[in-house]
Order: sequence, then C-alpha cells, then structure tokens
Amino acid sequence: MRRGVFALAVLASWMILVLWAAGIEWSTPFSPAEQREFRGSDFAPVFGTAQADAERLRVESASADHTSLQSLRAVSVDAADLSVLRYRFANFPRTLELSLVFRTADEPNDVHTIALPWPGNATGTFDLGPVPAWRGRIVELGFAQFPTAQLVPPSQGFKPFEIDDASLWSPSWRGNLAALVTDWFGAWPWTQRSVHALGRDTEAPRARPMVLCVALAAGVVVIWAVILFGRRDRRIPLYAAVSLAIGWLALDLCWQSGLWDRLQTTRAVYADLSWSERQHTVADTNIAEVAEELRQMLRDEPPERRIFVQAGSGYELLRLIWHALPLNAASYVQAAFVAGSAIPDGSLIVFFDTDEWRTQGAWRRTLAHSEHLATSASIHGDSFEDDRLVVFRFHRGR
Amino acid sequence: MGVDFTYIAAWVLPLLTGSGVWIALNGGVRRPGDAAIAVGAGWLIGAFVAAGCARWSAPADTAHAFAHAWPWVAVIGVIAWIVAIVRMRGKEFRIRWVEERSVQTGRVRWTRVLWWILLLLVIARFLLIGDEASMRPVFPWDAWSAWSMKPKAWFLAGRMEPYVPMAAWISHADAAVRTAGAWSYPELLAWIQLWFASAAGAWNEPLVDLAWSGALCAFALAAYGYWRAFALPPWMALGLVYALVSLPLIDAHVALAGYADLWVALTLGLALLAWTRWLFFRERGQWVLALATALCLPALKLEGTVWLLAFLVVVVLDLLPDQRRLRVMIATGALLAAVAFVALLFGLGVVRFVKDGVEIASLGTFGLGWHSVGGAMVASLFTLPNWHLLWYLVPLLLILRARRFRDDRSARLLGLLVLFDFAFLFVLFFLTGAGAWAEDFTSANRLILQVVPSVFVLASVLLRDDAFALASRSVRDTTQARVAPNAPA
Repeated sequence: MRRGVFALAVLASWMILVLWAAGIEWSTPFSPAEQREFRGSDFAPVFGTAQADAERLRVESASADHTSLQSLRAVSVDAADLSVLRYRFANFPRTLELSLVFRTADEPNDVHTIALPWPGNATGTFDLGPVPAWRGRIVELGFAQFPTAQLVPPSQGFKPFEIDDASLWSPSWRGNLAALVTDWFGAWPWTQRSVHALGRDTEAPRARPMVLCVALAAGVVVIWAVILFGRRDRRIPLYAAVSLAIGWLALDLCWQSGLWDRLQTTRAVYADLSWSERQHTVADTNIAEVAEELRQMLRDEPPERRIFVQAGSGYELLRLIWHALPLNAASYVQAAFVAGSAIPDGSLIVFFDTDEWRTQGAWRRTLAHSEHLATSASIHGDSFEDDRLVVFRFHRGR
Repeated sequence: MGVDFTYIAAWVLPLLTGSGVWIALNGGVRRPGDAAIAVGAGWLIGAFVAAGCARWSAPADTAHAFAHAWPWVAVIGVIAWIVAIVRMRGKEFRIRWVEERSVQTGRVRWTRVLWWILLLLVIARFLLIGDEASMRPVFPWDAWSAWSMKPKAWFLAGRMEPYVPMAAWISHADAAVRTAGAWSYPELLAWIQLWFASAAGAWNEPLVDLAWSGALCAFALAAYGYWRAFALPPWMALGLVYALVSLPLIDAHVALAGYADLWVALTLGLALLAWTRWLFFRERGQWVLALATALCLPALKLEGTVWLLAFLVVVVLDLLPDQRRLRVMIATGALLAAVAFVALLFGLGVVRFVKDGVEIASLGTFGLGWHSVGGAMVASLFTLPNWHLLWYLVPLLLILRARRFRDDRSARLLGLLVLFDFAFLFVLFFLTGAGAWAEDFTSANRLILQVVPSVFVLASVLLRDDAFALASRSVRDTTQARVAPNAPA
C-alpha cells in the first residue's frame, strides 16, 4: 500500500515538475484555444528559388550568398495571443541551420531572427513567449536557412528540401510540452562557445534546464521515500542511488543523442573525404583562398619578413594569419598598440576585407612612401581598389 | 599523407615506451588493474617522452620531428623495459585479485551485467567523439589562434622559431622569431602535435587532434586500473570511468579538440592517481611517477603551475612526520605571508601588485575586489548541461562519507588538495577581474574541467570499502610494505 502511494506521489511530483519546466500555468488550457495554420505553399521565396508542390513548398536553390528565405508577407498576428510556433520540414539537410524571421508593426524596418533547432522530419515546436522581440503585431513571418556557421563550407550547405507546414498556437499544455521536448531533445550544432559552456552556445532563449529538473526529480524520490518510509528506512540510500543513477543515465542518453546529431552534420561534410581533403575543407573558404593568394604572392620574400595584417574583423584577421602560415604575420593593431610607429622598414602591411588604407587619412599618411604590391588578381590598372586583399611594402618617408 | 605505418608507429611507440617506464617504476608489484594502467598511463607518459625527445632532437627540422625523435623514444623504451624485467626477475608474480572473494557472492551476475553495459556505454562514447575529432580541421577559437599556432608554424616553416613579445618581434626585424597573442604559452602540447603531424607527413589537423581522443582513452584505462588497484569492485571502477567520460564538457573538448585544458586535467588526474597509490601502499615508483607527471603541468598550460604548487604542498605535508606537521604548516604559512608582503611592496617575479590589482606576467592585470559571479557559477555547475549531476553528487558524497576524512589520511590529503584547487578558483573568480570569465561563460568551466579528474580520484577514495581502507592504512603505517596487504576485501 505504502509503495503504491510512494509511486503515485513520485509520479505526481514529476508531472508537476515537467509542467513547471514547460512554463505551464494551471489556467492554461490543454489544447490551444487559438491556432493559425500555414501551408508550406503559403510561403513565398525571398532569397533563393522555390516552387509550390501541392501544399508544400519545395525550396530548390539558395541565393548567391548561400542563404535562402521564405516568407509570409501578408500576415497579421497578435504576438501575445499566438506564442507557440510549430513547424514541419521534409528532407532538411544536416548542413543547414534554420531560423525564424519576423517583423513587427512597431519596428517594420527591423528584422528579428531566432535560431531554431534542426527540424529533421518531425514537427518542431518553439515557445516564442520568452523572446523579447515577439511583441505587438507580427506583420511578416518566415524561415531562413544558411550553412551552419563556421562548420559547413558555404558552397556545400544547401540541398533542396520542403516546407510542409507551420502554425502558431496560443499557449496550451500540448504546445508548451511539445516545445519543452523540442528544447531538451532538439539538435543544436557545435559553436565556438561549445568548449566553454554547453547550453550557452546558442543565443536562442531556452526552456528551464533539464539538468536542474532531473536533479529535482531525483530529490523528489528521496523526499517522498523519507516521508513515507521514515528517515531510517534502509531502502532510502538505495532509492537515492538508483534515482541519481537513472537521472545521470537519462541526461547522458540525451547528451549522446545530441552528440550523434552533431556528428551527422560533420559527417555530411567530411565523411567521404580523404584525410588531405578534410584538412583543406574549411567553412571560411573565402579567407583560406585569400591566404593562399597571399602566400603565393610573397613566396619569394625571406621567411623572417615581418607582415602586419589589418582586416575587417578580429575573426578575419586571426583566421587570415592562421591560414597564411608559415608566413611570419601578426596583427597590425596589436603592433601599433605595443610599438607605435616603429614598424620596420621593408615590412609588409596586408589589408584584408577593409578599405581603410584609402579611406582613412592616418593610413594614407602612414603609407605615403610605401610601395603598393599588386596581387595576382589586380595586375591590371587600378582594379586593386576592388580587391579584398591589398598589400603594401612599408617605407618611411625619405 | 594519412594513416600509414609511420602514423600508427607514432601511436604505438609512446605506448610501448611509456608502459615500459610505468612497469619499471612499478617494479614487481602487481595489483588488479595494473595491465590497464600500464597501457593507459603508459601512453600518456610515452606521449610526453615523445614530445620531449622531439623538442630535443628536432628543433632544426620540425617537419621530420618523428624521424629524429623516434630512435630516442625507442632507446628510452628499451632501457625502461630492461629495467622493468630486471626489477621483476626473481620476484614472485603475485597477482592479488582483490575481488576474488566478492565475485564468489551472489552479486556477481548483476555486477557483471552492469560492467558490460558500462563498457558498451564508454566504448560508444569514444566512437562518437573520436569519429567527430577525426573529421574536421581544428575548430574552436583558441585552438587555432593559440594552441595550434606554434606547431603549425614550426611544421610548415620546417624549424622551430621562438615566439617572442610583439615589441621584440618588431625591434629584431631580421631575427628568425615569431609573435602571437599566445607567444608565452607553454609548448609541450605543441611538440605532441608536431610528433603526430610529422608522423602523418603533413600538417593534418584531424590526424593531429586525434591525440585528444587518445589522451582521454588512455586516462580512462589508467583510471580504471588505479581504481581497481585501490580495491574498488570492477563495476564501480568502470562506473566512475563512465561518469567521467560521459561529462559533456569533457566530450566537447575531445570532439572539438585543440584546447590544452583536457591535457592539464588528465595529467593532474594521473599524478593524483599515482600519488594516491603511494599513499595507500607506499610504492616509491608511484611517488616518482606522480611527481614526474605533475612537473609536466606547467609545461602544458600556465595555470598548471598553480596545480603543481598545490600538489607539492600536500606532497610535502604527507612526507612530514605527524608531530612536526603543525609546526611546519605554521612556519610555511608565516613564510608565505612574508613573501606576500614582499610581493606587495616590491613585486615577485612574474607576480606584481599594482594599483587596484595584481599583474601576472603573460596573463595581464587582474583588478582585486569582490565580484558577484555566484549566479554565473551556480549556472555553470548546476543548470547548464556541462556536468550532468556531478556537482549535485559531490557534496552529497562528501557529507555521506564525511567519516572517511576522519579515518583515512589519504582522503584527508586528497581532500585538502581539492580544497586548495577550489580555493584558488574561488579567489580567481570572486576576488579578481577574472570574474568576467565566469560571467561570460568562457573560462570558468574550462578551469573547473582541469580539476574534475582530481575530484573523481577523491571520490574513488571515499567510495572504497571501509575494511580495505583500514587494512591499507595499517600496512602503510606499520610495514612500509611495497606489496599489497594480504587479501583485503
């Protein structure tokens, strides 16, 4: 009898815990009171090409910058009423990331983007309630896809897929529980932050953490055991150990599933490549190409030649230095900070993806006596001004 | 280029040499799990030996580091095996299967089933993360901007060119030197990477970074062996291994290989395992191994120095006679206070007190003052999916096994070491500007990762059977025995 009560108490407590994790209030209806359904064919391509195929939308190609976007232009939705997004895709490639894109009536010129877990072939659900921008009246809604950032070479990201349907639901037990399942078990890609803190490696707002819920679930077992069987009952350590072990295993199976999903993205790009091809298959192909161009250009320079790099962003700067190895290069900004104007005569100054060398007066003065070296792509006339890569041999004023 | 005989040799040679070194140090003593330790610890030791030989023999021809270094590694391996055989000759090979009694009980069936399930889970995990690591070039930011920068530059340049500060790089424009933000980072890991790259015949990051999978796999084997030697039942030893390798952040550091934190964690963990064995059984070889392994820590990463110092403190405490310990501790405390006072006034080498903070060479200036990073730290430990239930279980274990600290000197010493480590992390995050690393969820978890295997070593000591703990203490105190106490169970 007491065991039965124990089992019931634990199950009831776990149910309350899950409802808490899903953000469900008692007043919330079981099924959504309001729904807006959209067929795939209701979406129209904005970037890339797509064709309606019965009720689906078949997305056939991405735009020149490897992104694709499909939108419902004539939509009018009250964000507060409809905050649970459901979406279903077919044949969505592992190599693409999916985002929800929307505009609000209050800020029609701002496009808001929310990263969604990889949709697979099942229906995904996402609670937009905690998204700060999901407020007021939504006047445009769409899905964007792009090659998984920093993991997939842009040209290899896109493969055709279909949008089956999408819908917006008002909060409900069904919707919020489904959103919790998608949040906890959805497939998120690796990011640069994954080695620092998993769970903080995506900017999307997340549900209450599974780790905390599992720990509470294990604690609930012990508390009910103490209440029903007494503090000195010999079964309590066993219940505690078993519930913690099951909790750990549950978390680990979930993590293992996430690892598997991440591996599938990686395998989609690299599995069929040789070791050599893997080494040369990088997501920032544009930077790698420029680095190769730079290496070819400077192949006759002595290995000690100092090379100072200035780039459009810190990431591009460091990646260019990395890809250009073994060139003896370093950040110009760091050098300027440390050494002022003491750049050695004859050093090379490389500009990547920035036109500062001609738009900023300070740079023009610094380079006034320097020699502009033409890259192979800019050998004719003044075309170098359009190049991503511009190289100077630094000379002081004579 | 690729997986050919040379590349396979680069994996096997450290294993053979390192296992020879471990067995030589271990002498004729045999305990359950020794074979696993010889393979696991052997590979890690061998990797460090290989890196050291490469550094010594190949700075002028880094692209062929393997070709230059392998004969030296082989010679060390042969000498180690000769010493091992000589030390073992004439001794009785007493394989003391501590679990002999327990396997005769009725528990045997379910524990065996559990053991196989755990083994499958561990293997599945290694297949997943190893496959991921073998696929793509180096991915995480610091891996390419800091840790792989030097070995890649040296490999492609064909020679080792020292990394210097930016000012020196600019002022000596004709010198064969390089610079980078991470110019001062230690270089042991770089030479491990060079060892594998040169064996692969090209700078190939998937092949180089598989070493991270190898390191975790080796540590898992070594830890299993040591825990078996500590008389943990097989299912519990493997359960601890599974718990360790299942931790998501550890898996992430193998799958996205390239950071040094995992190597620091495993090296510190190996040092503690060997030292714990010394504490239990007074096997001198294990003490030497623990110290030698710990000395590699500063060569892996700058904060390795902190872990080494903390380790040395407890090593010295262990060696002190009980009656002198208090006096020495007071004297040491006074000395440290005096050093801190001198540092406050005049600075102390790499550490210098400046206005509102402390300046540490190569790391920067850290403002001193209280930083409210409790929320971020709690999130890191208890809610983010990095550690499963580890930080819920550790306090529970400490409370439930609190008596062990009273009864078991080994547990006290290990507990003290872990306390030192966490005290350092507390000071770092809560009292210095490094609190920003906790707030932005960048370095906090990685620094915690470095001490996680140490926490597992402490947990293994707390989980040991009481009777065996008392037996080993008795043996240590009375006989200074070099072999196991008789049939503890």
